[in-house]
Formats: sequence, structure tokens, C-alpha cells
Amino acid sequence: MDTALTWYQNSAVASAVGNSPTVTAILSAFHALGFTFIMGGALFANLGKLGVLFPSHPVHEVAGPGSRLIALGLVLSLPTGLLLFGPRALVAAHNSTFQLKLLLIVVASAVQFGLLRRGTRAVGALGLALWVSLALTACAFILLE
Amino acid sequence: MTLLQICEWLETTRIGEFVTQSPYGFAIVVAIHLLGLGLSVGTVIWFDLRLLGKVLTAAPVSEVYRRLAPVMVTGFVMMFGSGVVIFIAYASAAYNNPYFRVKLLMIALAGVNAVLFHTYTQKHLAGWDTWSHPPAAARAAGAISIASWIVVVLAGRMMSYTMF
Repeated sequence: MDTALTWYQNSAVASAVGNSPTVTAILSAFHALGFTFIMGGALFANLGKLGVLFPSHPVHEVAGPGSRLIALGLVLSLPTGLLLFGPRALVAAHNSTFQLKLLLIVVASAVQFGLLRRGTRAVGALGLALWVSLALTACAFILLE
Repeated sequence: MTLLQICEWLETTRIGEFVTQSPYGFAIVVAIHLLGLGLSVGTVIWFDLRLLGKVLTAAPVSEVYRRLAPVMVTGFVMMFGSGVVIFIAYASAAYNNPYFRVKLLMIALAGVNAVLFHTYTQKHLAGWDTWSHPPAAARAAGAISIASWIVVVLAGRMMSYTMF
């Protein structure tokens, strides 16, 4: 694992990101925009499934667009996150907060997209808890590492 | 007293020193700012998309606003409150930062857009509340809101890489 991480950290792409504060700032800006879309989509879709928002409308009218905004957020956040990870791949990969962040991305996405058609309150509560935990973990990783 | 001198004075206040001197002051305030961002901009987008006729087209515009407002307002209070505190702590660095100026301009644009919408466009809401595709003025308000908040988020993150 460490061999692959070392290879990536020493790659031309990771060096290009690490050596340019401007590129890092731009990547981080789009990473944050992705975070905003994920949070917005997660709140809308899962508060909808919980019946808090728009209880008189079919769940799919809320959960569908909400999940699509989460997907757009992931399309922005994942590639930019992978590039930001490059210059500090070894350190970040061994950071427990970062590991928790990755785990939450996988589990929250699986619940959101794997159980999309099951618009139950339990799935909404679980999805909301997972995405909010991801947001808190992401904040902790940025600020406390 | 110049604006820059006021900024320098702000940094010496108790609020400014709480952020810069206490061990977790900065982390706590920035975390509130980021969570507030997710709640506020993440929610206002849905009202804007309804104005654009892209989501919940069967729901009246007034109902979409009423349902989203508690989350939206909570998020904006968190985001603006923590934003003011962060500004107080790093006021002179922010004053000299071009992305901070872009961010302020875009917040002002979003604010004016919201005030114009609530003052003029919404006046005749009863006539188009249930339209799946609201009139051009409402659609324009939705588009301007989404665009300005996206620039606010991008400029805000650029600030943190160019200020310190």
C-alpha cells in the first residue's frame, strides 16, 4: 500500500499540485463547492424521506433530485480530493480522521444510491446521519490535522 | 481612522483573540462556518431551482419557501455569525485580499437579488404560485442567486489559501 502511495506522491501530477499554491487553491475551491452540493442534496433527499420536508408530495420527487445533486457534488469533490491528496498521500492515508472520512463517503454513498428506491424514514435518518458525520469529519480533517 | 486601522483594531478585540489565541477557537468557528454554508447555500439552491422550474414543479412556490426557510435561516445565521467572527480575527489580511472583495461583492449581489425578489417579484406571487415554470423575473432571481452563491463559495475557499 505504502509503495503505491509513495509512487503517487512522487508522480508528476502530485508534484505539480504540491508545487503550485494557485492550483491547490483552485482545486480546494471546487472541492468545497462539491461539499456544498453534497450537503444540500443530502439534506433535501433525506429530510424528504423523513417526511420533514414536503410530506404531501411523493418521496421520489424529493429524493431523486437530492441524490442527483449529491452525485454532482461527488463528481466535483472526488477528483479534486484525489489531486489534493497527492502531495501528502503518505501522511493523509495514515491519518485516522482521513480514513474515517473515506469510509463515510463509501458507506453514505452506498446507502444513498443503493437504497435510493427505499424511501423509508429509517433510510432517510441513516442517510442524513452518515452525510452529517461526513461533513463533521471533513471539517475535523481540515482543521485539526 | 482608516478602514485598515479599524481592521487592525478589530484583531485586538476579545473576539479576535479568541479565534487566533485559543487552542480550538479557529477550528470551532470555521467548522460552524462550513456547516452553516452547507445548510444555507445547500438549501437555498432548492428554492432557486423551484423558481427555475426544475424541481418540485407540482408544489406551490410559497410552500417550497415555507418548508425550506427554517433550515435556510438557521444556516445563514450560522454562516454569517461565524463569518463575522473570522473576519474580526483576520480583518487586515482579509481587507487586503482580492478574493475577499469578490466574495463581499457577490454576497451583496445575492442580498440585493433576494431583497428585490421579496419586494417586487413576490408581490404578485398569488398569480403564479402554482405555475410549474414561474415568470421570467422569478427565474432570473433563481439563476442570479445560484450563480452568486457558487462564486461566494469558490472565492471563500480561495481566500483561505491566499490570506495567511
